[in-house]
Amino acid sequence: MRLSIHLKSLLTLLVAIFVFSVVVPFVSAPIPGQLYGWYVITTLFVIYLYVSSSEASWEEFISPVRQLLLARTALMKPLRIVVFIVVPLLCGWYFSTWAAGGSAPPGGLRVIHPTPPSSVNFQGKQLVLQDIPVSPIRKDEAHLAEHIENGRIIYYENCFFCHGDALQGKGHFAQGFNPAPADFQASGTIAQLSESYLFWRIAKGGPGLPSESTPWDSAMPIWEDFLTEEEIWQVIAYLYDTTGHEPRVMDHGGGEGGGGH
Amino acid sequence: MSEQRITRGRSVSALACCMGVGLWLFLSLLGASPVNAQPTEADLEAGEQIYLQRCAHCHGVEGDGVGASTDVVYPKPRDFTSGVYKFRTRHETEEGNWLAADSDIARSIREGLHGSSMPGWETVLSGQQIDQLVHYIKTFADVFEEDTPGLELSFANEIASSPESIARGKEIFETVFECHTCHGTDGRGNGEEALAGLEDDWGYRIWPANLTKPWTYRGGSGRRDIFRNISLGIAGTPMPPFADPDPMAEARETDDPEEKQEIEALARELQEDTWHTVNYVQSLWTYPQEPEVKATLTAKRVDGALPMSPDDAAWQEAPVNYYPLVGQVIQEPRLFASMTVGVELQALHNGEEVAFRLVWDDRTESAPGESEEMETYGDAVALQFSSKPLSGMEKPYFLMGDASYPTDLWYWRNDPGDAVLTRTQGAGTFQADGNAGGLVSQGQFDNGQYRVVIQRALQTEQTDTEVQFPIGAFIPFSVTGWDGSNGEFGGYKRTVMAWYNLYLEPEPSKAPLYLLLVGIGFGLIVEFSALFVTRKNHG
Ligand code: HEC
Ligand code: HEC
Ligand code: HEC
Repeated sequence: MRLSIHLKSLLTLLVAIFVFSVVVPFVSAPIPGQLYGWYVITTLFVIYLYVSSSEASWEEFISPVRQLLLARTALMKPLRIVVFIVVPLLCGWYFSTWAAGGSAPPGGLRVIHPTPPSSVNFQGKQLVLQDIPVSPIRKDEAHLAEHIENGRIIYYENCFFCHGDALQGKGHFAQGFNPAPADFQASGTIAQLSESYLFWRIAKGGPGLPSESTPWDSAMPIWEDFLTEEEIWQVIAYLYDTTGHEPRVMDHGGGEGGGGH
Repeated sequence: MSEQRITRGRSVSALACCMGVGLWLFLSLLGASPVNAQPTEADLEAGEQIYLQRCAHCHGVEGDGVGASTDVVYPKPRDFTSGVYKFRTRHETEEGNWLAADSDIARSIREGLHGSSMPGWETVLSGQQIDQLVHYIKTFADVFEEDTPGLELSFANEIASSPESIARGKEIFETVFECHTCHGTDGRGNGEEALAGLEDDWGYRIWPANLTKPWTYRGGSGRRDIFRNISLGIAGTPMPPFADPDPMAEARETDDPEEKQEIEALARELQEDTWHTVNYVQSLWTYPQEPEVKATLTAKRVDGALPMSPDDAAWQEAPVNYYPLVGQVIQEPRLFASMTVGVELQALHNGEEVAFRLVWDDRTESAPGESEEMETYGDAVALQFSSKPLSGMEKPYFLMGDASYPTDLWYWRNDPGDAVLTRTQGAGTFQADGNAGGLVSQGQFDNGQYRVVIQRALQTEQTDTEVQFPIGAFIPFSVTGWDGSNGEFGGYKRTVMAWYNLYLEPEPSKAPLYLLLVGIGFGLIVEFSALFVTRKNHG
């Protein structure tokens, strides 16, 4: 069976829209409004190229339009009047709603995982993050279980009321904050990070972030003010142990972060 | 994620799932979620394991309510050794015990106790695991071995809500059951007895629920939940039962048909009165569930003078945004036991001035030094803005800024009741006194609720050091509050919220109208040129 060129074009357009608005958001994240518009325009352009690629296909595509414009049959005459009224109205409606929707708040550009500093001054002591590829308490294998158990207590004394009992970012204070406390179970947080990166984030909290990560918005406390160095390593070990995520081992290029959507 | 994918692919299994979930919901609504009556040794052991992993840090390894998190939560985790459960569907036993059924305890674990730190576990634990937990936590209290739960509460004779029923419910609330002595006449939890000071069985201060906020009802806000709480009371708290022991019990015992009828009639009346009260309680709700936070507060543009009184009818025109307020738990000294749940905010402007209306519930009108037990302070609220004009995405730190990005606080306190402008460079620099700063305010405390209006000119002369309100721009704002009798004062002990945006509505623009015309013209031009070209070539 041969599909008419109109059906082909329409199908292509529908499939593309389906991909943009259903498949992509399902697989990764929804496409932001403006970008979405460009994707659709690009699709239309490709369809146009295809349709106008040969004289015959262009003729097939354009002839119904021509028949409508010339309106030689009794059916076409009223149809032409309707189309001539409806199309300009649609254009007008589209133009004016586009103007009305002009005010959107700024933001949405926050970098979640910025590049960490090369070293951290922790309670007066300089720690070079590159030199700590894995947490120092992991070297103390005999006592690792104890460290994790301590980390657990630290978590439930200090972190759960924001990050939640189930480590999903749903503590009972979470609703007051924006951005929301990190969800440690998700694949986009600690699963992508190294232990020394976490050390920096926990020690310096929200205010320790660089400006592209909007430090002024983050409710993450500065734990250097409350916890010792060892306690922070312990709570980190607890986070990985409980979620089952593996910490990333930091490569020396410092090639971490920068990402985050 | 993977589960989702499968159901998307196979609509049949999705349907089956839906039916399963529906059936399960139905069963749990009936209160019939089955819990194995007799636990095995293995059940108890499994229960203990889950308990130690998930519950012990709050409820204590020994079940006594003392764990790692106890100090940082309010209300305090339940002490299971007492055997007291707040939410039950069973009457008092003959022995005089208020025992919860297994399904009651299972439900509390599944859904959590709303508005407290006790989370709902249904997304984390399976039904079987929850049953095992129920069996395990019962072993902390001997009373479960000595006695079995009483008769099931009957939910019969339900009366649908109607204006008449609500009016009758109000009457019962205030004159028959006298709920207002604790919950207050507007239901905000500020009755005389509440103010005099109530304690729970474990010696902690307890406040009657604010009935206007159903999402904070610990045991759920369904009609049956409210009916249950009124009928059986809330064990361990001063909230008394109004239909316990079972009013029908006597009727079952008597052989005299006349007496039986009489008792049954009385029991039915009590049930109906309780349903009327349920209808009244529901009519007190400001919102049926916690409202979603809106990122932008729109200050509507109006003509003429802005309303100064918080009760001015002009406020009905302004959209209302609700924001949850939470304790400041980031910098020491922290506030874990916050009492304020949220604030409602509205804004209006007239091109010259802007007016804000803040409404929040507070059971107590506090004054400094009113209590002998603890230090108390006045009740206060503040709107926070950046003192400096902002460029790009930069903002002051949301907790009162810092040295390079100070914040303006429009601070209103119930005594003296005039808003002042105070500037902060971090919480440690907060000063309660400031200068008038061009602010005009009017506020009042009314039956457990503060309503405050603060106004100022959109522009001031100090354009670089005071917040300015350009029309059509997005201006970061935030609100912070102090409940004085809860020991809240100064830069740290207070409730806070994140930055959101204020948007001052511009004058109605003519642009959309022009663009409508341009659009129509554009359409016509395209059409007629197409017509012209076609006619020329083929006509
Ligand atoms: C007052 C609420 C609060 C408390 C308490 C809190 N956090 Fe956070 N935390 C946040 C917020 C909000 C974020 C997300 C914003 C950010 O990244 O700064 C966050 C982010 C984090 C991140 C970064 C995750 C990522 O993907 O980059 C880590 C790690 C973290 N928290 C660990 C902890 C630990 C460990 C504790 C306890 C010692 C703790 N937090 C206590 C609010 C809190
Ligand atoms: C973050 C702290 C916390 C954790 C973790 C926690 N609870 Fe609770 N739980 C509470 C608090 C607080 C209350 C009391 C709330 C109140 O009285 O208003 C409570 C109350 C209860 C109640 C009493 C319900 C009633 O009707 O009185 C049960 C049962 C319960 N919890 C079971 C559990 C179980 C089982 C777990 C583990 C799966 C658990 N809790 C984990 C804080 C917690
Ligand atoms: C002696 C004081 C007192 C009286 C009288 C009283 N209550 Fe309460 N009520 C309380 C307290 C205290 C609480 C909070 C219990 C808690 O937080 O665990 C409460 C809680 C509630 C709740 C919320 C339950 C939940 O799930 O959290 C409702 C609804 C309620 N009461 C309705 C009523 C009604 C209706 C009446 C009258 C029929 C009434 N109360 C009479 C003290 C009282």
